[in-house]
Amino acid sequence: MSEFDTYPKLLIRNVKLHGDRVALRRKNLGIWQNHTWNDCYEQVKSLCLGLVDLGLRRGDKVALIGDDEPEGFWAEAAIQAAGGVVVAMWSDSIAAEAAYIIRHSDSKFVISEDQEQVDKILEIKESIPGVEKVIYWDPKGMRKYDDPILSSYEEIKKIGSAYAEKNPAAFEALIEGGKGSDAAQMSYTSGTTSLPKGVVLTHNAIIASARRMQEYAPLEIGEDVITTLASASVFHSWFSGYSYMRGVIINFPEEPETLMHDYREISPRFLLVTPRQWESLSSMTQTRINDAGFLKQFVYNLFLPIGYKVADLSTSREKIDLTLKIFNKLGDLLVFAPIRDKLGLTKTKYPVTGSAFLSPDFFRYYQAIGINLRQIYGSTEAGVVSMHSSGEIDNDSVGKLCDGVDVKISEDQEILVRGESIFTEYYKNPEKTDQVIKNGWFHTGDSGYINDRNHLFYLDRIENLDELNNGHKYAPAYIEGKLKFSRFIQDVMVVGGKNRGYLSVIINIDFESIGKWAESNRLTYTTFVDLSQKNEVGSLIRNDLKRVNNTLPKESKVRKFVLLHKEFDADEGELTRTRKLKRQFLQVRYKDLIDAVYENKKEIPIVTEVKYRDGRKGNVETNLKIHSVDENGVPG
Amino acid sequence: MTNDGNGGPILRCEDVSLKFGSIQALSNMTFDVNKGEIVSIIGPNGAGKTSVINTITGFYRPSGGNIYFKDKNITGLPPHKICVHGIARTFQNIELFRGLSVLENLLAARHIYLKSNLLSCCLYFGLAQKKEIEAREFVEEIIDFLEMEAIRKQEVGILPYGQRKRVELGRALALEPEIIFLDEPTAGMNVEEKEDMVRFILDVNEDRGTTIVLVEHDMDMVMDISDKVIVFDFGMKIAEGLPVEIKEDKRVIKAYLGEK
Repeated sequence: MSEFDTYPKLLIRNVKLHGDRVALRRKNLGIWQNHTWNDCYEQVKSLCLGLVDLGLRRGDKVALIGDDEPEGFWAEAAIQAAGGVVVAMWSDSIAAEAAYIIRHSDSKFVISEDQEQVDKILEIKESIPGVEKVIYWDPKGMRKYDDPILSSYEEIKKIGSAYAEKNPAAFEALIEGGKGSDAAQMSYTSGTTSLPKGVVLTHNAIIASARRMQEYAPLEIGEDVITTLASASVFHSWFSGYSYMRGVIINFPEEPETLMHDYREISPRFLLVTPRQWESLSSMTQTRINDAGFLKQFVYNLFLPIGYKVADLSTSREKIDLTLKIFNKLGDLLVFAPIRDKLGLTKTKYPVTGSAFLSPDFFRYYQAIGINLRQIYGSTEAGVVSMHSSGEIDNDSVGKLCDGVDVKISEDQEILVRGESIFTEYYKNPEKTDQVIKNGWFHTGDSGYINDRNHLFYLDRIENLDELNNGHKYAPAYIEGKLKFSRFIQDVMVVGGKNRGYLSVIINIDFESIGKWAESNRLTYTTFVDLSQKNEVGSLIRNDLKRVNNTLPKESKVRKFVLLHKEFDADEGELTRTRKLKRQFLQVRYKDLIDAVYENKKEIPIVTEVKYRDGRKGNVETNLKIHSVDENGVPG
Repeated sequence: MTNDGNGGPILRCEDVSLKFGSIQALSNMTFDVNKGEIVSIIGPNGAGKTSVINTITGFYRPSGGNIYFKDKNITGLPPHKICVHGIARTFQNIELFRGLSVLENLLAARHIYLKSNLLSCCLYFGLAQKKEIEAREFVEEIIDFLEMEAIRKQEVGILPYGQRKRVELGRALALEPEIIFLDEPTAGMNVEEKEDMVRFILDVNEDRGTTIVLVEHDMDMVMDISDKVIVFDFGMKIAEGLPVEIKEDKRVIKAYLGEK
């Protein structure tokens, strides 16, 4: 394999092997349009040489920001072909974040999608003096921009084509000059606690992870997958391996908003989406079922328990008797298959989740409707570590350890990883690098264990395992995951800790679902704040908490809850860009509220900001209710 | 920020008057719109803003005066003839086919470009097929332009208000007009929808070079994007000029705020 140790080398191989085959497809003007490997080659070549002509040299960094589109895919290859390093950025990152990453990574060029991204870059232009050129690929609305730092994708490609005519062998020579051990990509970690760190990955590391994924979820040439991940996600570059290494066709949806529709048209063989998306798919299904007619609801409610039964039996590897099998088949025909069709999962062989916690309840639900969700465990720094292969699915583990990866559990329960797939360093931060890589072992910061079947089990982040004042240990995310299965709960944070004797939760209600529920129960409300504080809504959520409490050990039971007057918001720094809770920040931000909960108060005044139609802002004072899960008992 | 409108007048209204019985809705209205400009018409309720659009686009017949579009007299022509000249509009109260999809609404507007005989239409071959494909392609470009991919096949009746306004703009664009009249394009929208709409209006103006006349109540927006502002009161034009001039104009302030 050493011969093809970079994606650009594989590109050249694919063009020679099957240049006329479809490499990727994008939906444009309502039609799926094919691009062959030959097309890709031309695109990558002209862009690459254009960049080289502008001064891109081996080892230079190029920031890439935008939605996942073929141009981004080609740009990655073009940058790497020239020996450059792709700095993958989130398209929704705010200007200050973007400025930090571009400056810190020493990016020489920025390749961005459209007007929205260009505006963002121009806004921070003063603070990124190292950037020589900003290139955009979607010219819409760009006609009036005359900043000399801007160039369009097409302009650069023209420069590249001219360069290619003068130096016909330059492109291949550049690619030949690349080595697997060169840096290929820098991903900035979402920075739950501190400033984002630039994780440097080599071609070898990316290809090693991609190969592991392909081993447990093999796809054949010509099969379809669809991009679902932000291009800044490291999964995305592993995913590209299917295309370069296996010739799988990558489909690019029309717009992020049309994703569901495009899933359905393509029905990908392999679908990797985040736990949050699986959660929202399931709550969407449930909402739709609740809106459906009597007959549909009846059939759904009739067969779902059978689906659950079969799922449970097959999980515990017990025998399923014939009658049950027949009924389940019938359920599949009448209910489950149509649901899978609506979700675009008809042809999906490998439905995968990863990167964050997904409650076992969801696995069970999806299994009941015939979708055997499997997990992948990995991180930007560690690469792919474990994954479920067909026939080896265990809802509680995060997969079977992959071949070629060294994993051990340290004395304090930390998962340590060694091998080809781990990252090289944190860019310009040797101190931090030395903290996490010791003797070649990368310290993941995750706690877990390995069982006798070589399955890896993940508990939580080491620092997130928490204990109460009585010494009882609990994993907050686990409880949160269970609660989030309720379609009425959008987000939730568990509060407890060493100074406290019991657990409580802060809940974001799901405005849409509860709004619908309120409508059908003739409950009038005005705003999010108003709805969240209704007593009826409190009782509704209480039922969910009671249900979850039943499955928890006695000490971990949630005793109190607050329905927050707003949703946690990434723009306010409450969530990371991958929508994980920033716990420490939230603990500080809602300190008064949390204190009030443990002082056994019934409510606490809060001030919220409201925006009036004419643009004025005002403050409204309301009281947040503090509910007990057990209506009668006084906790304490 | 927009085209300077140095293309010379594309639309002239000369002494246009409109009467409903004894009510004088418009009296001796005279103004020009230059090619490539964004012109806003403002004024208090009942000032005749919508009436003037209805008169130009043929929904009302003026009782006096002349309207010229590209030096052609279009006074009193019916709406379906006016739109063939390259004049399109949207309505204050959204007039779409509620039961049809977004796509179908836009395709319906392309009918003026679909010319083929009955036989080839029935059999869907030759010119009919070609024209149909062309129409779809054109409409898809508008869908892309206005970012309506996600609602392409949805029935218009179930769409939220802001999106329906967008569909209406799309339908106007499907006529490939040289001038578009927008009657309160952002009324009833939230801030985000407003920003989107303003961006689309500017894009239409810049990328397609379409002249735009809008009736609007949102003064911030009017002052921001207009090349010229015309102020109406009681069916008469009381001021005309650059946004900065209008802001200072005593008659305008009086019409809006009354006298001290």
